[in-house]
Amino acid sequence: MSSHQYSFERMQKSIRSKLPIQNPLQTFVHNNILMMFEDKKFHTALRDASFYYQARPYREEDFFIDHFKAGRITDKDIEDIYDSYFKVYGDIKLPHGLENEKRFWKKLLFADHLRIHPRKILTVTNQDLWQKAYELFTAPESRFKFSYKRSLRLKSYWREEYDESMEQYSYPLVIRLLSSFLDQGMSFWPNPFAKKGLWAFFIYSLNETAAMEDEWVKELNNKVQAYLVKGFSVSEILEQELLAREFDPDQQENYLLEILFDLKGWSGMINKLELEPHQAPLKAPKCSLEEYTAILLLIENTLNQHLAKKYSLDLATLFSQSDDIVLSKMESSLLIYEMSKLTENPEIWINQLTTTTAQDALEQLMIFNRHHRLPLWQEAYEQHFYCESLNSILVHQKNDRSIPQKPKYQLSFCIDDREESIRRHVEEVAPEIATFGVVGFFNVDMKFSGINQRRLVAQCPPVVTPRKIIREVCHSHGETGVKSQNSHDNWGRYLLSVYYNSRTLIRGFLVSLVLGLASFIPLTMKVLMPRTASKLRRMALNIITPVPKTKLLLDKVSETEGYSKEEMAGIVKSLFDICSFKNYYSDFIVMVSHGASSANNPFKQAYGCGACGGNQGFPNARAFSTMANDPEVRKILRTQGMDIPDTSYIQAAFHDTTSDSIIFLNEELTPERYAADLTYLKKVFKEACERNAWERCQRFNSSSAIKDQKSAQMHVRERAEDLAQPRPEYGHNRVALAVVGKRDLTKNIFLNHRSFLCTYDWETDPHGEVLTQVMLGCVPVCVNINMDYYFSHVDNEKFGCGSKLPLNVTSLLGVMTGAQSDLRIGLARQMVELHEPMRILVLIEAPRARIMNIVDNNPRLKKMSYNLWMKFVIKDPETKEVLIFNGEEFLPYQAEELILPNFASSSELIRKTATKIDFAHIGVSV
Amino acid sequence: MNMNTLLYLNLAIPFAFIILLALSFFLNGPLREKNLQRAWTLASVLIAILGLTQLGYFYIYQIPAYAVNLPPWFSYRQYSFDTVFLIDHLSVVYGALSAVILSVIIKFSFNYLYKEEGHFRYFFLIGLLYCGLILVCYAGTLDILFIGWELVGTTSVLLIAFFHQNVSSVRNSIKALIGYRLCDMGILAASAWAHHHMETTSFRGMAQHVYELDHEGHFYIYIMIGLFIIWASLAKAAQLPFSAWLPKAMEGPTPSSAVFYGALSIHLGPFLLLRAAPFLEQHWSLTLIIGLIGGATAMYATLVGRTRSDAKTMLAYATMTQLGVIFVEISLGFYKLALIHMVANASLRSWQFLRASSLIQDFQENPLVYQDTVIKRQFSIERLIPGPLRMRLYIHALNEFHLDYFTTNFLKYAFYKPIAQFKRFDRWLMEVNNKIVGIVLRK
Amino acid sequence: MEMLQRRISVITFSSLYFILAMLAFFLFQGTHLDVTSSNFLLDFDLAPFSIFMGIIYCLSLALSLFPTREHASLTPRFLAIFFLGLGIIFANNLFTFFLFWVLHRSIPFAHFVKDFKNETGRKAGSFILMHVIAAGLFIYLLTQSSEMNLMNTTLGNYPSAFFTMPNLIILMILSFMSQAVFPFHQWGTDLISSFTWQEVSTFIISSSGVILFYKMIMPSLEAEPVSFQIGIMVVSIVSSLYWVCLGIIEKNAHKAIGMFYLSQLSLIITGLQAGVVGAKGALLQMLIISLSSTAMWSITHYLDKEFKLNTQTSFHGLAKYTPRLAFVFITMGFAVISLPLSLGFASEDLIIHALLEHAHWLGLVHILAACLNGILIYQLFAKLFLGTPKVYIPQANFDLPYHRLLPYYLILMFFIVTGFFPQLMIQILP
Repeated sequence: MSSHQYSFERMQKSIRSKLPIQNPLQTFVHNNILMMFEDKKFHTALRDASFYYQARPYREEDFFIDHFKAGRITDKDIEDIYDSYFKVYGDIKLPHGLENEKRFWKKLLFADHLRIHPRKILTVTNQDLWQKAYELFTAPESRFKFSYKRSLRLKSYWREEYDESMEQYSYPLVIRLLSSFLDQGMSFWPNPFAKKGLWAFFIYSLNETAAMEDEWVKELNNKVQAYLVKGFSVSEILEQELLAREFDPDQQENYLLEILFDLKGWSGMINKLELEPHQAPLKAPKCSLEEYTAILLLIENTLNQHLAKKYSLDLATLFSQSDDIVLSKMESSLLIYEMSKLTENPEIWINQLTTTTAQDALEQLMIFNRHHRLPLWQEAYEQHFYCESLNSILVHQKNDRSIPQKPKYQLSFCIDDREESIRRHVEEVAPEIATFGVVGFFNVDMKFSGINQRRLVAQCPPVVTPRKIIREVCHSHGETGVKSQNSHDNWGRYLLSVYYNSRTLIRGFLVSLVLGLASFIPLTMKVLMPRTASKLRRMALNIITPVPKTKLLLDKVSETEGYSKEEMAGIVKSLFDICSFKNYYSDFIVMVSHGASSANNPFKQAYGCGACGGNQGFPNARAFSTMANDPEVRKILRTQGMDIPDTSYIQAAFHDTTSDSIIFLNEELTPERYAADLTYLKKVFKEACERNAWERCQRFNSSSAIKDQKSAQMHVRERAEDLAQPRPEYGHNRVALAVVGKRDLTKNIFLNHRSFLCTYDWETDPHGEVLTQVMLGCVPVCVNINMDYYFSHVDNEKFGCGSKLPLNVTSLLGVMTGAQSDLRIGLARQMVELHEPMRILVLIEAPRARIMNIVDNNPRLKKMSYNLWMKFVIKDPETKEVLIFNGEEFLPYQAEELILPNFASSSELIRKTATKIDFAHIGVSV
Repeated sequence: MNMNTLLYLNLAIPFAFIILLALSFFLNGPLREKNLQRAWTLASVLIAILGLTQLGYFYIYQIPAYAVNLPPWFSYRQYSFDTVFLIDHLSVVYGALSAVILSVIIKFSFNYLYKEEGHFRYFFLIGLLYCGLILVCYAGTLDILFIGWELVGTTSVLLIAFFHQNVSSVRNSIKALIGYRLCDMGILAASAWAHHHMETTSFRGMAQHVYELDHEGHFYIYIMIGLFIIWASLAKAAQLPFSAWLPKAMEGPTPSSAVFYGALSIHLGPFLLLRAAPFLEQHWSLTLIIGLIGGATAMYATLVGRTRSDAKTMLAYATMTQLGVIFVEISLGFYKLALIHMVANASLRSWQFLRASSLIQDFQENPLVYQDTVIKRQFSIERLIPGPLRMRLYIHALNEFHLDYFTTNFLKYAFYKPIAQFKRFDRWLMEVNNKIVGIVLRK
Repeated sequence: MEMLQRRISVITFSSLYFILAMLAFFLFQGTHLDVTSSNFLLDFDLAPFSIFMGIIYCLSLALSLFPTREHASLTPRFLAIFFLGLGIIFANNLFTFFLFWVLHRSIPFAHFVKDFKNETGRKAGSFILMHVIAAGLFIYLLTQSSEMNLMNTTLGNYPSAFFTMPNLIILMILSFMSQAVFPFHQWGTDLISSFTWQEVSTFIISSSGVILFYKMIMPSLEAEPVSFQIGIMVVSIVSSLYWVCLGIIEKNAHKAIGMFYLSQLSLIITGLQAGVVGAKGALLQMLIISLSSTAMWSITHYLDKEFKLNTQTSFHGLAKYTPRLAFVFITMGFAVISLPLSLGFASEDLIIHALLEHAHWLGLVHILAACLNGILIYQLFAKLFLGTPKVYIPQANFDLPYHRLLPYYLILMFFIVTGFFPQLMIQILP
């Protein structure tokens, strides 16, 4: 065994941290794919990630240049960010003799011949300049070695030289093993090796089938058998295989990471199921990343040897290959000639250049093209939007925003950006309503099991570990509960048996005969008229599996089940502090949770409420309202200084963001005296939802939906039920803002569905406990969502999972493209096509000191703000100034005078501009 | 509005619509999505109505099966390509089935392929598919059936390679094409031989002539034509040895997999056997072969299908199993049952294909599926086999019993190796010529 | 603007030329324009229409595709081959046929000999050797016919006395050799890999072998013993199988199309031998092949020039940059391998049914060859147009402009229209 500590053990921690961290789709939650890279600055982290993912971390250059031409990026934007960018990412120096050149790199942005993919063919105009440039280079070609990571595998070499794609060899063998080993329950014949482990399965299957497989599989088998005869364990084999190639220490980790990232979906899943087996939909098999890496490494080395033997090449020479950029004499002199034309006085610059300085100038140009051109564009692209949004919000403050002091109703929504538009519509329809934005799980961190479900679903953000288990039970304890449970179980058993038996032989014959003819009805009904079909289905299900009236068992039963009264009081108090009612409790307070409904969608969890772990939020709303209405809890709260009058009642409601409908939950429990409020609010919600549907339909640009509210509502409901709809809703597309502050910061301003709104009143929270809760709850979730959409939009094939059309659900964990491919990570193209790839701007209205001491002692917040993973802006109400954080310190920001268009109501705005503009006043007397 | 006019309409409308689409492409580039969708809704409604009225008409008025003779399509001296269309329960039922399923799939594809890059190409190929299907349903002679057969094969291959930027789908479409072309030879050979020996390729005519052939001692001709027809039905129905391509054909968009490998293209295999049944049943050896192939494929597909763990390949193997069972039904003579089974299987599989991506939701909502449990599957045949043997069977079933390995090896040794050998010999011959010429010129 | 006028003029010129040629041919259908001076006989009537149309189309395509100077496609060498090819088609007696044949072959012959001498280019020894032997055989036949003073009898009505067994065998060898049929095929690859696409296609379209067979041997074929006919058929079917198998293995798209071309021509020879019905189908197929193979070859050449396809990588994925060309290529390919809605289906049907009248088992091998051709064409299309493109060119469309795609659309329309009404074509064709 080698002297230094066993290598995989040493590298394991850093390898595991870089692998994709996506959950199985059943518990999918938006994550920043590069969460583990957050300890580096944003653009450097993207540079590393683009090597591992072999992806382009920004939109292509033409995207930015088209936006520049269209005025979305202006010269002033580039000017603003130029100096600050190079202060932070300065690993480039100006070529010799141009040190005092002003904005040299900015001019380079627009030089067509020096772009990554030069557009036009260069025509030399200034002959003598060209002559000088040409003589500079004596050697026929100049090589540029990039210190940056280069691929250690031979995969690209085999493809370019011999058109041998290694996937064609290794994928069928590996993916078949993985998908059957990790299968949670889709195949009729469960894998007998699930308990024994991947390595045992691999050896047995290899030994069994090597005789009837390709040549290289026989060689692989011989090699593995040789190791086993010597009695090597997996880690020893891994060690041996690693030594097969002489690496210097840090290259080994890169090599292993490259191999693992070849099948990044599967590697991430194996790593996830090994570290958190509870995430598995059913039962995680015994998988270990070490065994998996050993298998991939064995295959990689055998394939290299096999191909080298096939083309009679010597492996050692191949490994010492280096792929640095080679420029011929002509090309390099052309580049120098073009660069000189950009300088103030080209002749002087060219004359003082020598071959070495010219070589160095080219090196700088290549570093610029590879590492700095796109980030510069991206910073300018974001800067334009930040200025526009900050200016509009700050200009909006000057208008008088009518905030009802004594609102008749108080509604608290989730911070989700889809709720921004519904809150605006509710306030327009009924001005006497005050709305608040709180974390969607209402601080009820519970594992919920539904009335007929044994599955425990964590209804809280991934950051929070749920303490308690809450069960939903039938109202009357009689046998109706048991009867409905049995009927659900029977229905579940029937569905499972149809699923499995329709695919077997004899039973398959019977099922396909009986059910086949019957399946004409759902086939024609569900596709041709989705909504009526689902209505009929719901009616039929109510008869077969009746669902009685239910209530939540909240009382404390054991240490891990049910809340004690004090805990309940704590939850209610913490949430109402966030809403900061300032001791005015209206008679009727509604907690509106949200969720989504879509058909035939593997990514259903991606549309759910992010704070409830991607699930629907109604259990949290019901739990919170029962707790808040409990007299004992109110008594404890009174002792803690929060006096909720007995007249005020807390009602739970649920907003379906796809079909745009708001329904009240447990209406039968609300006391009689609130019946009038209920009917009134139902009317308000109906009108608000129609307007919201109409606003959302502007993005679908399907002509039938745009006519008016009614048809928009019908269209949106149709989309939620349609089997064939890859875009039930556009989720968090175009999200770019997160505003933490009082509602009057964002009242009566149209934000076009682009901002998270978290309520926080800085006056009522002098010591900052509430602010800690708000920031810890909201800011990480917003950054995760924004970054997930950013990466899936920027390079959909590598960060996202490509088009939704050929997706094929595999082993209940994820999706593959077509018959056999890598497990796909990220979001589908149809889900992110409208997104504008920008980092999120977090605007917090609170004193600076209070914010900074929260940020400084929370590791994740600290990393995100100091490494510029988000744009951090503070609106300090005490000093009345706006401060922008640039990674080191705060710089004051001067808001420009901006004339925002003013509309009487959102509907008028929609009718006039079809939401093409992002910011506008609504119903403000300017 | 008698049956003939219905038939002519049924045949004319799809072809006219396809020509319209082609013209729109040639004149000013593909139609915009909105107009294409409107045109297709109109066309699919018309197609569905026609197919169903044809079905209703046939069964309400108890119309006996009859052939519609039209002037020959083209003829030269003694050879003429006669167009005979057949209306009987088989053609009417399958025609109605394809009309209904196709209109459902087209409605499904409107939203599914909205703003997709190959939008026009997809709908054009689906239209071409329907023309092929209608021709196969109402074909009276083997020749017309071959036209439809070839159209369906080509559109299926082009739709497998729909995402033409993805190299694996291109490779799989080439594999599918090889299977289709090798088996289409069967029909060409059968129609040519039938034409020569029995002067007619119409299915009814062929059945009667078998008796004369028996007398003239050319009985082996009948057997050969029967074998050709069986050979032709193998690739389309993905029976052994041509079943390696079906699970790989799941590369296209889901509705195209549903309409081709769930419902209409894959059931053409048994349809051909049913159409030629009066001809094939006259000798036990042919029906025996059909039964054997069907049984073997059913066993193969069900064993392999049980180990699949992803939605679409599992459905592919399930369809293959049921097709094996249908082959056995045809060999045993239960033609009515086979037809009903085909229709039922077609609709069930296309429904399962369309819903394939909601499996995650189904398992999530099912009360019996929760953490730390393994779903108990009911009893099945592999439980009977003792432990270690079952383990080995599982491994081999997981690797599809190495069918791919055997087919590629067969191709390599039966095709590539001899040709490469020959090429080397050829190059040697060229060297010899060069040497000779060298000597001559040098002197 | 100057470039635009130039392009339009060339397009109208080539399409006009194409239509004029068709009209001229129908007008002269009946007349025997015999330019007779002693034994120099040209006959306009007997010329097989399809070969004529093929060669004309090749010219119009060469004109329309590369009008600009740097792709000078109208080289004098190409024009010489073109007109000599016309000569071969119209030649009506053995002497004129031989005269044009020798001149026609001398151009590549001289080129290869020069190359061979100073070791440049491809050593095309087999081309030189074969054509020397062929010339010798021709001279022998000419001496034979001059002894029987048949010098100025037209090709069609040679007396059966002339067709003694040795003469017949020599004639067969000559027609096979000039058509690169299997045993005498080596020179095919030499020609394909060292000449430009329009030269090679005119060279092959003038297909002296088929004309010799069609005009001279076919009328007297019935009299021959059946075993001889079967012998010829076996040779030509095996040759088409050989060429198609080579094409499937071939990595270089340019060569693969040439091989596809030659295998289809040997299929035509089998068709010619299968009686009158077969001959009709074969001539129809000849028309389709010459039109579409020329078009496919010009597309491959254009792509080769535009993208420098290296033969190593399969799946170039060019459909991303040239979608219309991909569509034209695949429809053209399917038309040749008899996709039902195209003319190819009718001609293939005629050949197969006629062939099976003669020989059951040989017909099957013919069907196998036709099916392998189908696989070859789709594999070629997949290699050229499908897969991920190697070179990344942002937002570029290298598709030919609409007016330069016109000649391709013309034949596509022609195939599909005649595909729906083949009876029309069968009556018109002589």
